[in-house]
Amino acid sequence: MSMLDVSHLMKVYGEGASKTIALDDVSFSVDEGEFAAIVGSSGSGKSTLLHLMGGVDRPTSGNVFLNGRDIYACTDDELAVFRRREVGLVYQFYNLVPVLNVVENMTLPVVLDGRPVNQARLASLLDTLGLRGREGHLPSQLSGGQQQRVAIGRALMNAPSVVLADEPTGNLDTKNSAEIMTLLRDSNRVLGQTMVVITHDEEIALAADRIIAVEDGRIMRDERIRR
Amino acid sequence: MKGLANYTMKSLRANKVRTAVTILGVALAAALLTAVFTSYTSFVNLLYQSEVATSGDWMISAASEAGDAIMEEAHQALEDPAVTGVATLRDVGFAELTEEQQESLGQYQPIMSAEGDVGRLLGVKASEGRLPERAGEIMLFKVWNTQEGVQLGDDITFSMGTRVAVAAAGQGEESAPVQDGTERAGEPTAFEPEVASGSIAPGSSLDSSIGYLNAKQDEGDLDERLVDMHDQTYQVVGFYDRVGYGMSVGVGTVALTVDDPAASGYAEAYLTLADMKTADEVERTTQALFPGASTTLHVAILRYMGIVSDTSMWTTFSGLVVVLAVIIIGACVSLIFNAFNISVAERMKQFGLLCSVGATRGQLRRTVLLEAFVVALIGIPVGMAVGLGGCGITFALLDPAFQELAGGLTVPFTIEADPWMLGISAAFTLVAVLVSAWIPAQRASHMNIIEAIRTTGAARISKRGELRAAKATDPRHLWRGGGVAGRVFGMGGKLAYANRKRSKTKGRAASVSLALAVVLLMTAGSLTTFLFGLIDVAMGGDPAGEVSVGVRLAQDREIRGDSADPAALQEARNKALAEEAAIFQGAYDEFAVLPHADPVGWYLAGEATVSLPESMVGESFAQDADLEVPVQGHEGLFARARICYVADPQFDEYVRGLGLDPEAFRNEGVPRAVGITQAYGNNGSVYQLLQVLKEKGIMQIMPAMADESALPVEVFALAEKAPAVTGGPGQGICLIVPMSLAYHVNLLDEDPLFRSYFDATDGDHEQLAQELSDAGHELFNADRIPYTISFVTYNDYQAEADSNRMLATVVNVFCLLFTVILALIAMANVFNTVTNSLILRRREFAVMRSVGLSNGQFRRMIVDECATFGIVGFIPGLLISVAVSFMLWFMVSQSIEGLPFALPWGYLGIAVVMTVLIMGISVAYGMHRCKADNVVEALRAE
Repeated sequence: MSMLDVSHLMKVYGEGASKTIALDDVSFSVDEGEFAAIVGSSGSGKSTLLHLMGGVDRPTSGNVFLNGRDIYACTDDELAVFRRREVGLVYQFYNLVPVLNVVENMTLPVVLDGRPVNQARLASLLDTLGLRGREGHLPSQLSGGQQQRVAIGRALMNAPSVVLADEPTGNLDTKNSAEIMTLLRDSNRVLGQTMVVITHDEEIALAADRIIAVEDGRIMRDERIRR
Repeated sequence: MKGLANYTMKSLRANKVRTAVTILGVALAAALLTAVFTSYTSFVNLLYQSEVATSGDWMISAASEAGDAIMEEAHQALEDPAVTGVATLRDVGFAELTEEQQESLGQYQPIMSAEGDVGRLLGVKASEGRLPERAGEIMLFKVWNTQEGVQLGDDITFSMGTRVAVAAAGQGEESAPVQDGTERAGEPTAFEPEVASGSIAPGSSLDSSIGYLNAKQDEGDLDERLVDMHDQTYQVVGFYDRVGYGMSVGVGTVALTVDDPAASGYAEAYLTLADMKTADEVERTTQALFPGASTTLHVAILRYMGIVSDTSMWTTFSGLVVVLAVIIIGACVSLIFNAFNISVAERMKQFGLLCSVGATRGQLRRTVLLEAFVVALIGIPVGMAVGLGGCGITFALLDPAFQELAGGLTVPFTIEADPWMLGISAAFTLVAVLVSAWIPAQRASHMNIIEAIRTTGAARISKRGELRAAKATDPRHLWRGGGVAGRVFGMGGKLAYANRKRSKTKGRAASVSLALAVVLLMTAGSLTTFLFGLIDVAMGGDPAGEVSVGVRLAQDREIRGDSADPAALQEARNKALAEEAAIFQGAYDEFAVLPHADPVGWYLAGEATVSLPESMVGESFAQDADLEVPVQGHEGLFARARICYVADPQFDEYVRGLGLDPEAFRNEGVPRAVGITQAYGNNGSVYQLLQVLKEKGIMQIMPAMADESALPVEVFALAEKAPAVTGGPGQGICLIVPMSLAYHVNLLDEDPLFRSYFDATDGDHEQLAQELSDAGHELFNADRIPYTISFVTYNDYQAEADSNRMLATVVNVFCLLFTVILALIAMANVFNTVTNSLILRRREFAVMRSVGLSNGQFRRMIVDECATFGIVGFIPGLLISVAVSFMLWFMVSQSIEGLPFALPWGYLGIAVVMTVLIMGISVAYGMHRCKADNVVEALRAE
């Protein structure tokens, strides 16, 4: 059953001579519990696609439906609520709030939503992510891999409908990259978390159930991997 | 270095807005400093030129009865390299004048022979014709032309002679005290004659330095007359209308001739000297040139030349300039520092990269300093040009006001751009720029390369912040903190709280710039308040009404002539005052019913010498007024006192206002008075609000004649202020008594002055003044008044207020310009820092928004943070303002003691409103910029 539907999505930057078509009539669906990888070269439009799916940017035209709801029919504030509850975003550069410690960063979407923190889930995530003992650390006191784990924890804390990860291992060494991919894979398998990962690394993409290849703003290939 | 210089220039060009803001800051600093220093030098120059125009530019005079020696020494002085100019005046003789001529020209027509450039040195200018150039020519005071009908080219013959002292009728041959002629400009007003510095015997000839001797008026032993009379004819070649220092002597206004063979005896030499540093040096040099002569310094000129300094208005003026310069430099350092700090912070990554490819720390520091230098190179000349231009325009606009104030200045108010002052302005600004850039330059050179390269504009965390973060992990208390802000602003407040408590910078720059804004505005406010206080004192406060009538009758002389018996004399005086009180009551009643008159009140005032116990006198007044002049046969201190008989309705209202019963002042026996405790003492040019009286008690009114007895007066009550009708604080002791007392006792030893005040019923003060004048002419004439009328004056204060308003306008324009410019600097500074502190955190905000921070939460977070900057900046700003206000007050107090210290509350209100407004605008703009940012772009930004 499809959870995320992308329909005829277009994103155009600039006007006239500087006009750039980042996405050109992109349509596809992601099923619930699916682990999809979007691959493509630098500048192919894959990050733009992920941001549009996560509700952090608005398309020039087209729609994104999550659980049947057109997210771009929402106001800015509704979109903010949508991001808190329905989406977990993981970035290449972690993007943690520098003045918040590990647990505060992880629980930020929950408290922004005005809901109480699920302490059991927090504890479980801290254990799973190997962050136990570092709860009070600020991002500046953590290594890159640890910061990325906090970012994944923040994405998973709200048990969102979908986790969108943009080059989550792009800034990490091989060992940390493997650990992060394992975490993402496990959260998909164990928790049934729907996952869309952007990468330019085919090897990482092979960990996914499905690979969608984007080139020049268009989907060039969409194939499921049989294991 | 060349490569880095290229990099510097490219950086400046690439960041046009920041470069423009920084250049603007530097230009503002240079403009303000130039304007302040130029205003100072221009104003000093104006005063100097005015003094030169009225009294000439002589620095010192040397005078002696041994005129031949003075003349010879003057000729020799011209050879001295220290002497740049000499002019001499020497007595020729004194011409007789008719009684009518004496009224406008003085006792005699003194004629003096001039030598040297009297035009420049003594400021003598011919208003018509020219100065005499050869023997037999003469220049006269304008009155000879206007009243006596003498014309240019006329021959005028004077009956001239030599002044000789003679013993007054009934007096022996003893010598009598005379005033020292060199103290011509002095103003001895004590009730005792000045202590004699020389003595003169009957038969001695008198020169122009000696005032007219009149035994009766001086209560002395000598009279004088002219001897050796002969006729002397001159050809009139010029008239002058402005009587400068040398042109007025004790017995009349000088007529000037040259090369007069009759010139002999007393001579004066006026000098200008080069390269003098102190007044002592001026005196020493002159005394070496003119041994034995008495010297007089031209203090005003020496003061404007910076040779003499004193504690007076001058100190206040210079002090204000220094305080303003310090504040301006402080404000500009803050503005420029912020601009550089932000510029460096924004480019920290670039600096890291430069360092990583081999740039040394010194090169990085020099890069920033070079930037500062380039900015200064453009900003300083632009600013100085703007400052000079602004001064030029302001002076041109204020010139008519100054002309009006000075009663038609002969010198226009123009820019005096002293190269030294311009150099100081430029140097101060350059130093301010380099100091401002130094800390950011140090920061750039001391950065951690790796951190700099990785920098994402994220907040830096303090050590304490790390500790706080480590503690905030208890699941039960997670996100429970946030303080009051957290409760008021919700999640936005909690995030702001975390940022405030853990971030290293805490928006210090914004708080500092806000504090500075408050300081700048409050300074402008204090300056305005104290300057107006100064003007108020100088103007002597507001008059009681719009138009006043003042009359003085000459009763005293007539009474003196009536009797020699002391008791009868006092009785006659009492009777005369009672009659005057009745006359003036009648006059006031008649004035009061004039169509446009709304009567305010009236009083009779005069002076008397009082003796009083030391315990009654305020200490500062006792020291200031030099009261310890003994009078034979009496104890205690002595002073002149002003005694005001106030019309009963106004007196009763006044004493009721003091919580007293008016009837207590209508007792039989010793007269009772209200003693005024405060008065201004004007010692030279220093105004001091002194405590004159501190205790009630009995004063003795000293007798006018030696054989009369003293009259006791009881100071029954004390009050800080006199009744409104008698005006603001006067000088010295002042006693207030009811008019009813005037019908019984005359406490004055001089003719009283009647003064009455009226407002115009419909605002037409000119019409009222006319009606009062018409009625006054009808009332005060010989047919109706049994005394000689000394004078009648009609003052239209409303018209006078126009010129006062002109001064207020000058001060207002000055203060307004100062306030506006400082406020602009302050606002630019706050705007710059607040918006930049927000823009630098755009990535952080984007992160929060990407995980679901709503617009409302974002707004509340920023409002909370900025409100905290505001409070953190406002409170120290206010405290510093109080200190600066105190300093300004202290400076002004050098001229006016007793001026109350008050904070400019109105400006405080403006500061609060401005703080809120500028914070609001800055936050709105910063948030708009952050919100306008595409979250995706912001997240990518490095």
